Amino acid sequence: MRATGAAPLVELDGVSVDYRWGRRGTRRAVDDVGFRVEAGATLGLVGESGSGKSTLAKALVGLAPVAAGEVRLDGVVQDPAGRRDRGFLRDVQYVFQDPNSSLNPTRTVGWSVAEPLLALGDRDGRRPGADGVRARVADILARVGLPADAATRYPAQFSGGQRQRIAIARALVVAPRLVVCDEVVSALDLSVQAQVLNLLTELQRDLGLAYLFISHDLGVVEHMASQVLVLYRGRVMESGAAVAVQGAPAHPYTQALLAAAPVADPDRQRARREARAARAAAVRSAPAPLGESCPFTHRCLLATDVCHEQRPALRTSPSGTQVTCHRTEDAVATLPPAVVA
Amino acid sequence: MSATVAATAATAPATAARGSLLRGVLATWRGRTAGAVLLVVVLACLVGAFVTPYDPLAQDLAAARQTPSGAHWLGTDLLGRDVLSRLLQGGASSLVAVLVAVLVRTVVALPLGLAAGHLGGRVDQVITRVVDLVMAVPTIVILLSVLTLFGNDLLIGMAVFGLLGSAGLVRIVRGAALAASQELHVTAGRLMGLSRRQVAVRHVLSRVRGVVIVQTTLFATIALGVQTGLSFLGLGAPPPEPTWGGMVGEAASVVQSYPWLMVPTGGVIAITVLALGVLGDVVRDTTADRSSASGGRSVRRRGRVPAADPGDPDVLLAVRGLEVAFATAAGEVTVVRDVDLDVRAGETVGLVGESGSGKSVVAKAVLGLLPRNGAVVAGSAWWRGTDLTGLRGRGWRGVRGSQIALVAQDPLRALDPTSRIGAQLGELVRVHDRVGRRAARVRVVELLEQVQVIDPAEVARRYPHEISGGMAQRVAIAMALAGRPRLLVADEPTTALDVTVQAEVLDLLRALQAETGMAILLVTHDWGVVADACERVVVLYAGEVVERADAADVFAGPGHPYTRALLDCSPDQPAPDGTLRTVPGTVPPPDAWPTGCHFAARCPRAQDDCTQEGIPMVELAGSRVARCIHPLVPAGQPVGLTLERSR
Repeated sequence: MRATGAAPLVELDGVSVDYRWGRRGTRRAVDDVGFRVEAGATLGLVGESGSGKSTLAKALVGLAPVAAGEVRLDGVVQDPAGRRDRGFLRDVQYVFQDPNSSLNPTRTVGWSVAEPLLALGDRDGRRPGADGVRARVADILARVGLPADAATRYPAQFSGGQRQRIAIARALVVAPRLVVCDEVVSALDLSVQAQVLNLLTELQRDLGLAYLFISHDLGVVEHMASQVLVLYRGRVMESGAAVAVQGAPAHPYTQALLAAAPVADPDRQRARREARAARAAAVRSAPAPLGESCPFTHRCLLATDVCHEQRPALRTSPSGTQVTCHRTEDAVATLPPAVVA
Repeated sequence: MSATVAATAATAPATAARGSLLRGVLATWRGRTAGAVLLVVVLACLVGAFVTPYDPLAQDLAAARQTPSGAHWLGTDLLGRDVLSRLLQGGASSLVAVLVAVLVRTVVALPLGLAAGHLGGRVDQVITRVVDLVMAVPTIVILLSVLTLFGNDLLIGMAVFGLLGSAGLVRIVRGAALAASQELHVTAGRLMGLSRRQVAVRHVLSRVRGVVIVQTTLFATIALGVQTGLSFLGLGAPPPEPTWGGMVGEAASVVQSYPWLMVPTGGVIAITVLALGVLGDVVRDTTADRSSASGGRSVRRRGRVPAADPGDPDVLLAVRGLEVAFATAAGEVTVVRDVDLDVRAGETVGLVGESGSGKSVVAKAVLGLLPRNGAVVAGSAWWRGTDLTGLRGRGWRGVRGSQIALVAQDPLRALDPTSRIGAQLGELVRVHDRVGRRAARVRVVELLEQVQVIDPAEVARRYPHEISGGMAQRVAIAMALAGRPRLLVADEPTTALDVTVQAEVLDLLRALQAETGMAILLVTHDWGVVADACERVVVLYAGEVVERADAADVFAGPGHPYTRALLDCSPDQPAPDGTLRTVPGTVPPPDAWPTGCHFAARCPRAQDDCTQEGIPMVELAGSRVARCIHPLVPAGQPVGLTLERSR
């Protein structure tokens, strides 16, 4: 992507993650995926359930062991087994999807928000004193828009949106440089979702944060991210600038994903539905086991023999994105306009 | 997403009790009473160990077998000893014995259970095996041999009893720790660089506390029973040393001639056991899930005013003036009120709202599926001449399933995990069609084909866990279709699904509608789904219908400011400066609805008259009817829904 002298903030290079499956066997949840996030930027990870997007984020923070490839922070290679030092954990924080389960219901909000600060210490490795901690917690809670008395209350006394603000405050209290946002708004109502997204944008502007923004919702990712990585069954389908991926998708899977996302406009939606109907009628078969083929063949209109036999390599598509597709030229040429309208 | 108003309403009172377990327990009269009784018993026995009105061993044969008097408050026993003094001193040793058993059990079981549940793997395997072994050991045999070995030392006996009992607690703690370890705050703890032991202590232990306390109170009652039983049998402290069990034994031997003696001796044991049991019960209630907080309560439906049937033959379902209330610990809370809506044959109506708007409550009320603590307190839901809200039990036969069917959000929960898909569908077919097994099997395949399952015969042989979420939702829809319903109530049918699968399910619903002519009431929070599927829209906010209109009119320009605000929140329509438009503030909870317009506090167009009195539904341009007196499109006059349609 960008040629700079300094290493990117976070870089994953050819990462694969295996999950134990049955008694002896393993299954590849993420297969040879790489990306980089520059300081202050946002990378969107898009995919359906089972696409490996959360697993990839877990491999980054050390919750899932890396079977192949490298995870680097500031160019420093991290332990593949998942051990991360305090410096890493301070720099990279995680906000989970479900704010009900990510906060301990038996502890006050102040306790939960202070915990990472007490466990990880400050950037100089020292722990701030009790007054210092209290002041930092009050500061950060105010920063995410919670009332002053929030610290002494319990998670159950807050709404879903407020709880997600608390979870964000807990991530920010150690002044991280990258925050992994794992489906942070998908459990929230539409109006609350907009509030939280605005807060994240504002925090990024003010604090220079980078985000790894994971979502199944292309609309949300397009709004938040400058770069997008589309995953399907653990493999990269397409990556590139958000504008290009959304405006001129060059992989049949990205196109299908876009065509399936409903838009709040009956006329546009009707056009998309018709564009979609042609595909749906043409291909409907069970997914083939993952092997040396494109993982999308069973749902792809353009699939030919080569797609079944040879795994497509990452290459530049006609629309300028990076894509793993043998037939990307045809995919771009046959894209129905309704899908990107 | 579809956290219903029921849950929200129930949360409020339980929330306050979450702060402190002790405060929560003392907040109930049962907890206070049980606590007070236990405190009195324990204090009396503690004091009684040192100070008693009489020497517990002093015999006075002249005063034997006395009923209560000023001198002997609880009478005297066979040898004229003071019963109260003996109870107090015997109680001290009994309670110490119970305490020993409970302490040994907790100290042994807690770390083992936590380790097994939280660490898993080898540790878990070893601990579980040992626990299984211990549980297979006959407790009473071991106990009797230990007592024989140690010369009837009851304390050692009770310690062994606690050790044996710890096996059960290990299992329970392991289960709770395993569940707590799946929670994200435990993962979050690992991401803070906490060691596994620190995570276990800081995050898992606090979650198993409730279940441990409940189990401990239960075990204390059992230990008390065993302890008295052993001394009843003459094991433990030898006479004349007073023990509760020994005294019951003595009373039992003369129960014919001197029945009084059984009253204080048996009574104190009964009261202590009862108090412990009640305390455990209250602790469980306090730490239990919030959803069960209002378990036993129900809404009184006195004086329900049904609404008249509009009698429009085109309309399948006519809801009029529907009001639903839930019973909570804080009293009865209205969660939905004055809801009017129509569903005509063959059309799809979207019921749109955020969580807490009451959209799921309306859908459930129509199907008579409100939770036990909820009820329709006013209004009606007319289904072709029948008021559904008046139906009970058998009355629903012939309506639910065959006239109106439900598709729920989570398809896997709608399916029985222990039985094959074909068997589940077949059972429904046999009920609805009254046909034999063979005919049912044909119809099952037909139904699965109807929901576009690729290989119906193969899918029919599978169990629910063997199919994907999208396939499960297709099967759930097939189950709903088994009775050939005329109305399908779909409660967030695609919320749990991926977008590509959601598109397939929406397409399927449309195809089925074209094929069968059934109507669909689609509950959703997603404007994209509304745009895709619905002809008409009903928007709910804080328990009220705020707008009803054709979908095209809503998207072209709604009449109610809330509808506008909700449409504008969509991330693909940011404001010119790139931020997303938001609605300031939050939805008011059902017990804090304001006078007048529920949305006024968050509304950019609100004026003084919005909060004066209830806002009527106002007919606006096009098909729009909105509960707003300062609407975004020109207003007409207040109308009821029937008027609007018959004009």
